[in-house]
Formats: sequence, structure tokens, C-alpha cells
Amino acid sequence: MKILLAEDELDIQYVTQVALEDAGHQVVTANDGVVALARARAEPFDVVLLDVMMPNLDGLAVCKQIKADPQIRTLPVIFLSARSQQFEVEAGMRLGALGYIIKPFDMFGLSREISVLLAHAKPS
Amino acid sequence: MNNFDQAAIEQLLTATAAIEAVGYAVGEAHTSALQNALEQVLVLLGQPEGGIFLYNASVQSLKLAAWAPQNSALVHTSMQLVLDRDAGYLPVQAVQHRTPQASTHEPGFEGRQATAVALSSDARLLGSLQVIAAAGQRLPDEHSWLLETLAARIAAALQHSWSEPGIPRAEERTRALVDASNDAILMLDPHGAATMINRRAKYFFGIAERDVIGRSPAQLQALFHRIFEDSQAFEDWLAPLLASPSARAVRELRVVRTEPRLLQCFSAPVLDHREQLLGRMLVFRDITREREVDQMKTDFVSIVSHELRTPLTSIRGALQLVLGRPQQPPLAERTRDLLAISLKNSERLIRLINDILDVSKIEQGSLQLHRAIIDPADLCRNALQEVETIAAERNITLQMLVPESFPPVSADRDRALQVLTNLISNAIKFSEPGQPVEVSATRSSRAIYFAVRDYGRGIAAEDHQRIFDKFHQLDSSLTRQASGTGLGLAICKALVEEQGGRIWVDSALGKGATFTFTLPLAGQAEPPATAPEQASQPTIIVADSSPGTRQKLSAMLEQAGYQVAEADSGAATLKLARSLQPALIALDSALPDLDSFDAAQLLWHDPQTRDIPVLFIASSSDHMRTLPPGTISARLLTIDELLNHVQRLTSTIQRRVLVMEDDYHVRPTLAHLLRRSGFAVSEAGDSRNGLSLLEREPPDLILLDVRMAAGEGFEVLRWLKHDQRFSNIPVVVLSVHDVEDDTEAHALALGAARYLEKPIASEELLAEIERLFIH
Repeated sequence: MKILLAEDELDIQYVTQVALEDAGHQVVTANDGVVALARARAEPFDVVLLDVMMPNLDGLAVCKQIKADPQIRTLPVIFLSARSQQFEVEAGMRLGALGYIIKPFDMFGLSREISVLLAHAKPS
Repeated sequence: MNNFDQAAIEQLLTATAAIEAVGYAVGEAHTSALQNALEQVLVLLGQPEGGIFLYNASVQSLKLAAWAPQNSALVHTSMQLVLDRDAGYLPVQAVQHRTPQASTHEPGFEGRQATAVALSSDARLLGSLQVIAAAGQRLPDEHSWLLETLAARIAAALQHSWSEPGIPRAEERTRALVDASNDAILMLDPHGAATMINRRAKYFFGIAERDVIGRSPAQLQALFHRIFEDSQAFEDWLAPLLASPSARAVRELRVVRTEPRLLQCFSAPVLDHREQLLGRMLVFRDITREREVDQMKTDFVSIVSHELRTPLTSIRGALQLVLGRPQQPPLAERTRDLLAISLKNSERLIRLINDILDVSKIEQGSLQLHRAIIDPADLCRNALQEVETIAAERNITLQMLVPESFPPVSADRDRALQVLTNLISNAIKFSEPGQPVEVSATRSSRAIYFAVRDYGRGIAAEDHQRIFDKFHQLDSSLTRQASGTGLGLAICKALVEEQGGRIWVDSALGKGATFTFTLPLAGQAEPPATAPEQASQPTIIVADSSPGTRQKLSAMLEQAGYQVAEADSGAATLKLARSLQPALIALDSALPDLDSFDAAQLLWHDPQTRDIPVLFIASSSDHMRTLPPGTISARLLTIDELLNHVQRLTSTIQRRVLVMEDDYHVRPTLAHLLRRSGFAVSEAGDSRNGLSLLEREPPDLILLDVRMAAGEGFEVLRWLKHDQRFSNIPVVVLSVHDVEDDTEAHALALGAARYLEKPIASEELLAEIERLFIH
């Protein structure tokens, strides 16, 4: 799978990248929302993992723009966030995300969880 | 001073103290202080009888205010002495001459020596003091100066208590006290007019005394409208409280004037010493800041835990990757152990943060439950899977004793799992290696009981409650060793209770422990906090000794969509009522063990069953005795009427009745009767209030006393029937019987639906109302 990983916290970004690459995926990283959105528009991905709290453009705004862009509207979005309050999760899901994974997440479980979410996604 | 009489001096001091007390007493206390002073003076002077008269300048008379002994003839001879008329009495003479007067011809006391002294202070006449010696005795001459001295003292005390800074001073003190309060205080009379406002209230709302005192309820409403963000909500809350002599209530209200604040309003009735309702006190406390602090605390917890999770994601993730995949070259054993410790503790830190967030959510009331239908055996299996690894590590055998056939429970799956997992891991932590931990389930008619049993060290009885407190640690070293957070059980308790269950522990030191919690069966009436609408039809208990009647009633009710439980005795009814909490009990008059009257009384006196309406099914009227409020006789009802009763009593949509009745005693009684019978009641003591309540929320029925003060009753009726908005609302007219006139004909001619004469039997009233609703 080709995964776009948008995460400004570089330690988390690196560890997550290693975990996903270990699981056999190809990972492209972005350090903020603006870069992530540009990347998503520039090349095709199977899924984008978005941190919520990012500089310049936060994850929610990136998701909103992806879903509003006819070219990449179908790109599945999964949030990764330490914001775990019910309303925060719901705010993310309302934007059309496929899932909302709460940090800290299980590094070995992450790849499996992404696959499950993608498998359950309604064909759109 | 070598041979002073100690007893006499002590009595002198006692008498002077008693006199002095008169100067500081107010109201009833003043009367008793005066009585006490008189008695002490008589003891001091060695006189058996006497009285104190108070002067009333406006009617030029002396009134007997204190006397001794209690049966003194003064009460008959000298209760009220008019100065012009009663010049033959010593107290009058003393006042007129302003010198002590003595004689043996005092009316009623002929032959006994009587002495009277005027009570005056600064030339102001206050009253008179009279003492009467025993027959054949006289007041010793050396005591007459003492009598005058004491009279002067009494006068001074009276002056102090009365004249300018006397009683007003006491009032002033109360006023100052109320004004000093940091809370805003407003007092309303039973009609809703303001009678008092304190300084803080004026400041809070930016108003002056004249803005509220002496204003009409309508003007006050306009004022409230400017003050409260939602003045309608405030008035709706207040209206039913106003006439209540007992209701206390608290509610939070937002005000916009003078500045936006959140106020907590406490309301209580104000009663005088004769228990008469003077009005209602409203105390407003500013809780704006308190709430802000609460919010800050919540935000703080949320932000901190977020900030902690971010670095923990990297730490735990990195450790997982290092330890979880093959390394080239392999890690040295010691390095591996040290990394494993780091991983274990980062996981513990994550648990702690999650627990703290949970507690914060629970305290904030923002815990959201997603109820689902859950199979009890499934739940237990899932929980056991979660803890398999730690059980294996500690060599604990897990046993599951849960029947597969149990009906499902209604609960939030994740949260129920969290509770069960938490209890099982606790049990594992506190067991010795080799011991078993058992998870079992039993059922009642309403709930599944989940139990987790261990054979560890056990918990002393005095700790059975405390272990459910936050951060309560029976033995902190043990808790740490078991890597607990001290929050687990507190969270379990909150989660279980939030889902309508209970949790408790049975244990003794050295005997292991059994933690049990309940979850309600799916399809049961759910707790109102989480599920306002009932999932199932209301349950009705049919209690009747005759199987035939029972079956007939049950069939009828079941056909109408109710769930029915049958009882054939009073004892069974009480038991069922407690466990089922039915929406209604239909009670036969002749149960074998209890007569229905006693059964109804027992239901009424048990707090668990008190609020359940009772429909009383009697076959003959002679059995009717005074029944507890809220019981309804159905003796003469048709099946339709009965179903209508049942529907109203079990319905959540209440019918509204407006009671317009100016009699203070009748109105609350009517309102109470109607409320207990399932109606929503608003009350008005005069036509103006009645009409404003009417405009606000048109009722389904109006009870109108046409004999209200000011003769407004018929006017109201005429007006109602001419206003298209209200002309369809049935009006039941109440009136006292009057031989002379034709009130009934008059009322019916004006459009009243029913005319009832007071006094009205409650069954008759309810039956009439019921008929009106059917037709």
C-alpha cells in the first residue's frame, strides 16, 4: 500500500514510518498540512494518515479540502490524534474520515487497523 | 456591710437582670420577659400577687400585660382600665397622680393592701405596676422605696425596648444582616408581588427598590424579562412554587443584566411562627467564576493528557518496534530486560492518563454511553481474552461459569468490558500464583449479576465502601506493585451506575473477595437519565382476589398494549410493586390478607412505591373510606372510562388543569388531588393570575370558583366563553351552596360544562373530570 503520513511530531512520524514500512507499505511523509495537501494532489495514494494538530493547516482542514476536491475526493482519510474526547472524534468523523485512531496507538496493530478500515469502507 | 442577707441580694440581682432583659426582647419574647420580671419583683418584695399594666395613649387606657399568679383576679377586675372611667382603681390613680398609691379597697381585693406605682421614663407615661399583699399582711414601709426603684427600672427597660431605637432596631438589625449577604435575596408574596429586595440583589440586577417593591406581577415580569436570559424558563419554574408552603428548589439561571452571569437560584417558602405562608424567598448566588474554574480544570486535564500522549506515542512506539522485531545482531539479554521495563512502564503511564481522563469525563458528566444489546456470555469471554496473558504470566487459572442461555443486557459494550476486565485483572493481581479466579453470572427478573471471585488476601469490612473512592489505596506499596492507578474501582463504580447497575464487594481478610455488579436486562425500563423514553409499554399490576376479575382486567389491559403482572394478595402486590416499579396499580377492594385501604396506605408510606398511582377498584360505595391522596375510585366506571384512567395515569403526556380558586385552603387541596391523579396543574388565586397563566399555556380543563373575591368569577367565565382561543376548553364551575340564588343555572347558561357544589368529594370531582375528557 502507498500511504501518505502527515505528522508534524517528527519522532512519531519516524516511528510510525518504520512500523508501516516493516509491515511492507510504502510511506511518504509530510511535516504539515499544507505539504500533505500538495502531496495528495500531486500523486495517488491508497490512504492518507492525518495528524489533527499540525501547523499551517491542521488535519481537519486538510480533510475538508480533500473531500471538497473532485480530483482526490475518494482518497480515504484516517486521523491519528491524541485528542480523544468524544466531541473531537465526532468532529473528525463528520468531515468524511474513514477512521479516527487515538494516540498512543499500538505500532504493530496500526497496519492491521488501517487494512480493516479500508476493507470496511463503502465503495464510493 | 457586715450582716447583709446573701439570699436577698441574690434575689435583687435576679430581679434586676430580669427587668433588664425586658429592654432587649422583641415580640413574644417581650411578653414573656415582662412576665418574668414581674414574678422576680414579687419574689423580691415577698408579695403574693401583682400585675404590670401598659399604657396605650391612643385609647387613654391601661392594659394588663403581665400578672401573677396565673389565676390572679386581676384578669377579671383590671384587664383594661380606662383612665376616665376607672379612676377608682389604684393603677389609674398612680398614673394620674404620678405618686405611689395604696389602699385596702381595691375592687376585687377588698381587705387586702394594694399598692400601685406609675411606670414612667423621662416624663413619658408607660404604664403601672401593682402589688397586692396577702390578707392581713402589708408591704413593709422600708420596701416602698424598693418598689419605686424597681418601677423606675422597669420603665427604663420598657422605654428601651419600645421607643425609637427599640423594636425598629431589631428590624434594622435583620435588614442589615440581609443586606450584608453576598447573595442576592428577593422575597415574593404568594401572588408573586415583591416584598423585599436586598442590597446585593439591587447591585446584581442593576435595579432600585422602587423597581420591584409595590410593582404588579406584570411589571415584575417585564423586569425579569430584561434581567434573565430566558425569563420564561424562570417564570415557569417559579409559578408553581409561589403558592407552595413547602417546596424547596434550586435551579441555575443565566442573567444578562447588569452583566452576563450564571446564578444559582435557591427558593424556599417563608412561614411565620404560626406556619402561615408569607411568601417565597429567592436567593441568587453568583457561580460564574466557580463554573469557569471547573471548565478550566477540565480543559487543563484534557490539554495535559493530550500533551502527555504525544511523547508517549513515540516512546512506546519506538520500544515496541525495537522489542517486537528481530534485531541484527540480537539484543543482549540485559538490554532487552531494561527496554522491557521501559515499555511496561510507558504502558502503565498511558493507563493512568486514560483513567484520569475517564474520571474527568465522569465528573464533568460528559461520559457518553452507546447502549447496545449485549450477550452476557460473550462479554465475559471477551474480558477473559483481554487478561489471558497476564493471568498466564502469574500462573492464575481463569474459570468462566456463565450460562449461554442468559438473555442479553443493555449496556455500552466497551465500558462494560472495561469494568469486567478491570475487576478480573484486579483479581489476578491480588491472587497468589496457582490460585483460580472465577467469573460467573446469575440473573434476576431485571438484571444480570456478574461476579468476579478471587482467593487472595481479601478486604476488611471497613474498607468495602472506601475502595470505590478515587485514589483510595488500601496498601499503596501493594497497589504500586500491582501497577494499579488507584482509579480503577472508582471508574468501575461510575460506569456501572451510569448504566443503571450497582457494584459491591463481599470479602473478609484472608478469605478472598467477590466483586459483583449488575447490568439491566435489555428491554427493561431504563434509567431516565440515559433513556428518557421507555422502550417497552408500561407495566400495570392487577391486584384482585378473584381469578376471574383478574383475568378479565389483564386481558383487557394487555389488549390495550400494557404489560400486566397479577397479584392475588396485598403482600404480593407490595412485593411486586417494589420490584417492578409499575406505572400503575389497579387495586381490588377486598384482598384476602389486607383490605385495599391498608394496602394503599402501605404503598403510600413506602418511599419506593409512594409515587405509583393507585387505581382503586371497589364494588360498593360503602367501602369507601378516606384513601391516601392519589388513589382513584373506579367503582362506577365503564371499560372505556377505566382505560382512559389507565392511559392518563400511565401517560407521560399529562393533561393540564388550571385551578382558579381564591380560597387558600381549598386551592392547594384541589391541586394536590389533581397532581396525584396524574394531571399537570397550574394554580391561580385571582382572575388576573388565572388569565395570565391561561394565555401562557392553555389548559385542557379549567376549574373555576365563581364565588371568588371581588365577584369576578362570572366575568372570567363570560370572557372565556367569548374568546375563541379558549371557548372550547371545558370549565367546571365550583361554588358554595346558596339557597337564595340560581348560581347553577347562571353558570350553565354562560357555558360552564359542569357545576359542582362545595364541599366536593374527591371521587366525584375526578369522576366528573374523567367524563369530560372522554366526551
